[in-house]
Amino acid sequence: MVSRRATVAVTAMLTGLALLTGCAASAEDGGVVVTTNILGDVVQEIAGDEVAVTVLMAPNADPHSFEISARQAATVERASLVVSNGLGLEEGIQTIVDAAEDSGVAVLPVAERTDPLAYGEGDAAGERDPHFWTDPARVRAAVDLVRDDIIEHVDGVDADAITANAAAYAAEVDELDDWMSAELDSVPQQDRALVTNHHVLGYLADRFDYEVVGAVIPSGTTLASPSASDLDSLATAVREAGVRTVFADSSQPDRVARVMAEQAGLEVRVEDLYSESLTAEGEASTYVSMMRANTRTIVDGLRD
Amino acid sequence: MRTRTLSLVVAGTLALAACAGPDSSTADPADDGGSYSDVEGAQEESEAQYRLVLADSSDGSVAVLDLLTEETERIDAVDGLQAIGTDGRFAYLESPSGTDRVLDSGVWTWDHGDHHHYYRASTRLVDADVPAGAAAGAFNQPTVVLDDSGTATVLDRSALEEGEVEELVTLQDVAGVALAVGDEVLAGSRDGDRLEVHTLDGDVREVDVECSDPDVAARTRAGVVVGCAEGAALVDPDDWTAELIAYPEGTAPAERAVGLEHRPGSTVLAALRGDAGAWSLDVRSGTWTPIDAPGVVAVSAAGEDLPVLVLDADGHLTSYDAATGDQVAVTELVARVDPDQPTPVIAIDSARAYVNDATAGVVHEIDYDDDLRVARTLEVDVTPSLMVETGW
Repeated sequence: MVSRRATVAVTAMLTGLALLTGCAASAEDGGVVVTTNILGDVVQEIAGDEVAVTVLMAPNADPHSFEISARQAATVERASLVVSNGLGLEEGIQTIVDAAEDSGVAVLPVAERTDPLAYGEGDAAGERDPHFWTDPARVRAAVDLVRDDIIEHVDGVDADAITANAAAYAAEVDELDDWMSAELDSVPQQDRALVTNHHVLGYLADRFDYEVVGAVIPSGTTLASPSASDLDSLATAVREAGVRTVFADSSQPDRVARVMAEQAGLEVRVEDLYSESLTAEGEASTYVSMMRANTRTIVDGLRD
Repeated sequence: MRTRTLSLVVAGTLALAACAGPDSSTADPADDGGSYSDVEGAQEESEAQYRLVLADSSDGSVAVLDLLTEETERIDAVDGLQAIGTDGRFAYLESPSGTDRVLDSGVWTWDHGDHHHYYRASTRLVDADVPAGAAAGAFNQPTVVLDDSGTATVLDRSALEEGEVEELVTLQDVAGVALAVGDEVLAGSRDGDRLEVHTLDGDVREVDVECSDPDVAARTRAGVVVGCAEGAALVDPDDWTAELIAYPEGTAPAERAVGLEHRPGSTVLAALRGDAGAWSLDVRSGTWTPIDAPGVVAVSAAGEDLPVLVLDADGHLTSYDAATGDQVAVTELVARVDPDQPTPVIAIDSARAYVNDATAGVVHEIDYDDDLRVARTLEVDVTPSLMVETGW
């Protein structure tokens, strides 16, 4: 799923710079390799200048489908620790992570270790949901896991420094958690419905007592000439949830809103959320800032 | 429109330059593991990106119609073009007298079960041709091209995605159907009396199901469905177990299902039923339902709880309840179905159906869930006698 306001042109350059920063801190072998860029940010905060961190997934990329070069795959094999999301998120490189684990590299699959939830509905109902990061409490738990594994698996690392870095970042995540709790609690109970086609909000909803109302967002060829049935899923969800804002990943959000008004008589705002990737710059360039941006979008959309 | 570029190859190269030290200048671009889509700037989109590949069988001219932008792109003409197959991304432009050209239509879907990812890139012709024959493929699966002499050529899918043709193996003595799942190929036997599974290493074993004269196969979420003289074999590609969904008792040989058409992946399929009409096949319930529709020329099924669509020789498009065979709606769609042209196609996706109208030079876009309302009439600049839809 696409994160909003993605910045395409600068992606490659910034990725190179991000990795350069990581490499400069230490030798290339024996460092920590992280699969996704969301976890990459978390691990970088904990590693600080003590350990080289290589993030495989570029900003604005797709955790499911990104692939890496043979050279990058070799860095995975030489890592002291691989931090992955797991639960099937990184399909494009799972075989590389598995191969590294088989050859003795320590692997920390974070989502599997932070009390995963099962999907509630859809074809994947019952399977474990990999999108743990939408609950900051689970990210807080991940901080301890990453800290302990870096200390255990990275030879010669300064354990005191890692512990101090982790404590400082944990405090930042705790502060995020407190702030999100207060903000999301400010929405009246009856308005806490996330009408959405995003599939990443299960943990956030579970943690903060929201309801995810899945809806098919009219799109593409249906918007060219919509009929009532094309709008039925979204219109029904909006009416039943009684919301004025839907959180939809749509390439034509304004057109969706216009069609809903003209054809279904429903005035809705269509707001996008960041979902599975950090951006190269801007308000979603770190985990904490991404969560703050999403929280503001949700609260602004649902609160009077 | 918000999009983003999968620029991992470039990113990876810069990272190497940054990290690898003095020998980084020797980094070989061909060493990158990123796919062709990365190089060409495939973008992930928030919704399905459907295109139609259209061709004129009289002169081999080819065009790609983008159903979101309504823009048409002309592709180099293909000599001897007689048929088009697709696996959702690639269109296989089949010239029985020569070779097949492979067109990357630039749109495809990655099904993750609970959600989908949709991609969009430029169209382009793959650099080399593949042997002439009927091609079968699917996302993340090898493509198999089956010719009339019983040879099946298995092609590496990731090479195709990079614009190259790489043969993994050729299999002999197969007939009727051949499709790959992972590193195995399900195929009809040469003498037409059974289904077999070939490994790429050359091992062959029989599938334990009654299936003679297999002639068509379809991939569904419930398994691979193969049309046989006895009915349809539903084959589980995980372990190659299979069961026969036999025709109803008393079905005449002339009523044998011809073709198995459906919205990609869906578990309700439709086929021609001789002169009498059509079949609806629900593979989950194991039920064949006859549909009375004289003069039928083309069929397809929209899926579970959705209609079967039938086009007849008079140009009427009719929808039928897939479970009962009862008529739901009818519309006069095509003014003239030219018997000298290839048979029209009904292509169905998650929102609309498309019918190519060679005589009028248009494609009709149908809202099949709204009494066959014509949503758009799309002008195209080739005579659309052949058509496939991609993006799924």
